[in-house]
Amino acid sequence: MVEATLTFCCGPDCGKETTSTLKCPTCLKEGLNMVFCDQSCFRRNWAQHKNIHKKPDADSYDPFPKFSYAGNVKPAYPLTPRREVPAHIPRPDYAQNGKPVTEIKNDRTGKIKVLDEKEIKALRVVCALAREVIDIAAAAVKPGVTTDEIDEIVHNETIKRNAYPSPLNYWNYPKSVCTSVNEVICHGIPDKRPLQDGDIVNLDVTLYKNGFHADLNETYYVGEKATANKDLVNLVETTRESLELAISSVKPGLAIRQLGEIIEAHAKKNNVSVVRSYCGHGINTLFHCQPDIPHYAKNKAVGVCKPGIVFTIEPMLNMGTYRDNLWPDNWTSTTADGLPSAQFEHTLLVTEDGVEVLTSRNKKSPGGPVKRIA
Amino acid sequence: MATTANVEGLLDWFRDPSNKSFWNEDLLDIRTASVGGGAGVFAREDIDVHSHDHCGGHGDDHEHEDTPILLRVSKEAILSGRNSKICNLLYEGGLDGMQAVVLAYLYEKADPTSPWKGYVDSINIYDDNGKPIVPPCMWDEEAKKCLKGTEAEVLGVTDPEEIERYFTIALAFAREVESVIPRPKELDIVGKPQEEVEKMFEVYAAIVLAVSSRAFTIDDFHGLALVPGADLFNHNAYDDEDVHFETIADVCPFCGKDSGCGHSEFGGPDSEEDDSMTGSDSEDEEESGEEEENDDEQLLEITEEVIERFESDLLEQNGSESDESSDESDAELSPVERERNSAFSDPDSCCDITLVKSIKKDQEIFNTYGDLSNPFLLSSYLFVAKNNPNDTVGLGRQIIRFSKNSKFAKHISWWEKTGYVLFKSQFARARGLDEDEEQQDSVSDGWKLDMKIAADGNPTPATYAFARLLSLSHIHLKRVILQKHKLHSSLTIRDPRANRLLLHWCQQRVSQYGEVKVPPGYKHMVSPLINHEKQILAKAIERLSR
Repeated sequence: MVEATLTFCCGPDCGKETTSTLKCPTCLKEGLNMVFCDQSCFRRNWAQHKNIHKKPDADSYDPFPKFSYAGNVKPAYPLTPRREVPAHIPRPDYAQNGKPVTEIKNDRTGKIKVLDEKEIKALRVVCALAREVIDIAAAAVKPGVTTDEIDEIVHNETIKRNAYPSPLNYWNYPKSVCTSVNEVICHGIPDKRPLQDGDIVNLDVTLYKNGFHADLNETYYVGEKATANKDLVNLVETTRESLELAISSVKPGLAIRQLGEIIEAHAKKNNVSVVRSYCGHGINTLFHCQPDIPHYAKNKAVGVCKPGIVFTIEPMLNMGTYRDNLWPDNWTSTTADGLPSAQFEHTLLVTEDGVEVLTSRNKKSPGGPVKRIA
Repeated sequence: MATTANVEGLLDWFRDPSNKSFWNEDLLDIRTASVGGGAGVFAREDIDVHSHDHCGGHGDDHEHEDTPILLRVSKEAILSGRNSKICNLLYEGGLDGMQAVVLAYLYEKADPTSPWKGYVDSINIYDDNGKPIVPPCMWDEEAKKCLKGTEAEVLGVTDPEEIERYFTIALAFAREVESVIPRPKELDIVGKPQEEVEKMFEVYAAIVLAVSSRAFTIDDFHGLALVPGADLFNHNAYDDEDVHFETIADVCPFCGKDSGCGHSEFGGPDSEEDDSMTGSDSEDEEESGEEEENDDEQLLEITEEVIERFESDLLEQNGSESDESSDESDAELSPVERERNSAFSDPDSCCDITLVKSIKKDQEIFNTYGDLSNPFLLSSYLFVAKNNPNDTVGLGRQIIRFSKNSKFAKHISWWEKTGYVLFKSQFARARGLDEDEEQQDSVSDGWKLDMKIAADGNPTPATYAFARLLSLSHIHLKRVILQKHKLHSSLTIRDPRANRLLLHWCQQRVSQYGEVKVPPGYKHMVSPLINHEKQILAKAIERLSR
């Protein structure tokens, strides 16, 4: 009797244990053993799965040749296959099939979780690790490095710390970090595009460990050309400052909706616009939860700060229009006019008399503010 | 009546696109109401309803395009507990309903940067002499006395117990969250002398009156909420309203979405099922469904041909997906204007005031708040309607007194335990009414409140049935009980003894009224209420004596 080998279905929306021997023939040719539990699973996941297939005669290709991109940044496929997370690392509920069920159940319920001392302690640990990981990844940012190589660093550094890279398979997101270059506002998927002198790139890192998520992102200048670009520096520094200004207002009693006033005022003063489609969010045992934190003025976000609640502020500011477009990959959001966009994010804990930046920079952190060019 | 101040500020609030609301300024004007001296909404010009289809845009595939929208407010812009900044604190305090709306109002009012400032400031709670306009339960004793013996008194309209309880809960909430958010001045009793606290209680009562008289029941998510503008339309008590308030009420109680939210698939936030199980269960269903469809092509191997087929399917799908590049026609609009327009394009996420019948220039435009009797109107809105067709006069007290006669102990105990509910349900069935609705007040001794004379001077069917039951001898009573399936027919038989009993109760009921002079400031509210009750009883007595 031959015992069937147990493996996991590689369909991102499935991930179940299976004894199936149904393999993707293209992957087999490339030496990859990609098993699907059944044909309907394969069919359902085909559109996403094929992104890892190479094209003959090309190192990389644009998977959406008919799409009219707003700027110069285009996807450079194939994506690398999904990176493995060792079995001993505890995973969030969506890791298997992509559906964050506990998040869905808690959507918009009006509750903002208040963390107790023990929970805060656990969260602090994972936030510190997230800072370590982003700093290591940021140190690798330079012209010629692909965003996929950065993904590899983030992934490996994360699992090295016995943490799960929260973006991986969240709503079937294929990678372990978001890398957003130039006009990409957020949720850029790491691929074969090498960073170029003059780019800016945002690394958005989230770790899950001890039951808590820690989320932060920073925008980095790539090469000398970027820091010599007056408008680009104004955009990046204004974004960095707007986050700092917003954070410094956080204390018990602050209405969440006020944060957008502060950010938009600073953006206006510096002639850049505020993205309206994406918000900061509560974060704790859930990757995304209440409260929503819009970054624009005159919003009607609900909730008031009280000690023990944790959320991110992550303003996205654009050099041109505030409007955004979505790529056909259903993740990458770019500015509608192709002009650059910058973003910064911290995970924040409201304390008795103010706020603690749980993901704060340290002396060794790469990046950091650059002087505006007069 | 709660009045409206700062109308210009309110109009400015509507003009601000970030409030995602539309007040039809071309057609509507806010003027002094035709009755009562508060504000009302008037037509600036003739407005026609072309369509006779009154079901509105909500949930319908079509909208009646001909009839102009008078008011549209996105559900994001209504002032509910859920939408207020203290949403999370209310959640932790377990507060909802009117209590939550009143607190939301108070904390928004205390915030000079509140997005509802223009609206909140338009709510006036003071009369011309600067005194808070309070509900009848807070009137002075002199004024309360003149309601003695009226339905208003019987139904507890003059009893301050409920508002006291509200105040206590509001103060407890304010104390509880004080470390996070300062008390609004209306709830800041700390260190205040007793007489000042009493004054604050009066102001609080006036606020509850103002809020409760303006609030609408929205949906299963928001519950009660203030809807700017919608509260300006006054009430027509005679089933003759010009507009309807329309919104989708049946939404997810957890997130407010009207369809396709995750809670319907996975359950509420605290539902106990194993998460992974729930997820994979539903997926199993999906999968098995798909498998059935594709039964004929169960594969053991994936070949290039299969992949080619997937590819061509994919191409087809992408081709059929409409090009979603954004509409450039409104490119010159500001972000907030664009978002308002997009909110308006989904009427299911809005509250509307829609016209249901044509209206002439300079007429006041009325809504209806429901089939409400004068005692209810008085306690909730501080006005009454002359000859209100929803008025009734109860005989409960007379019946309680009468019930003390042990001669009827058996009759009454059977009626209380069985007869009343049974009669109501048989009656409802005979009339083709919704039984559930008819049986709402059938619990314990709630039946006594249901013994009453209707506005037309006739006893309600259950009241007559009860009188008829009492007029039965013990032998007849037994027979009726044995044939209880015929209760409806046996208790509606005309019986002079039943009439005499009813007449007796009505005469006693008339003598219940005190002979008190109504203080001048209260005449417009109290006199029509008392007069109509007396008229109803006079009609009843006249009929029953025939």
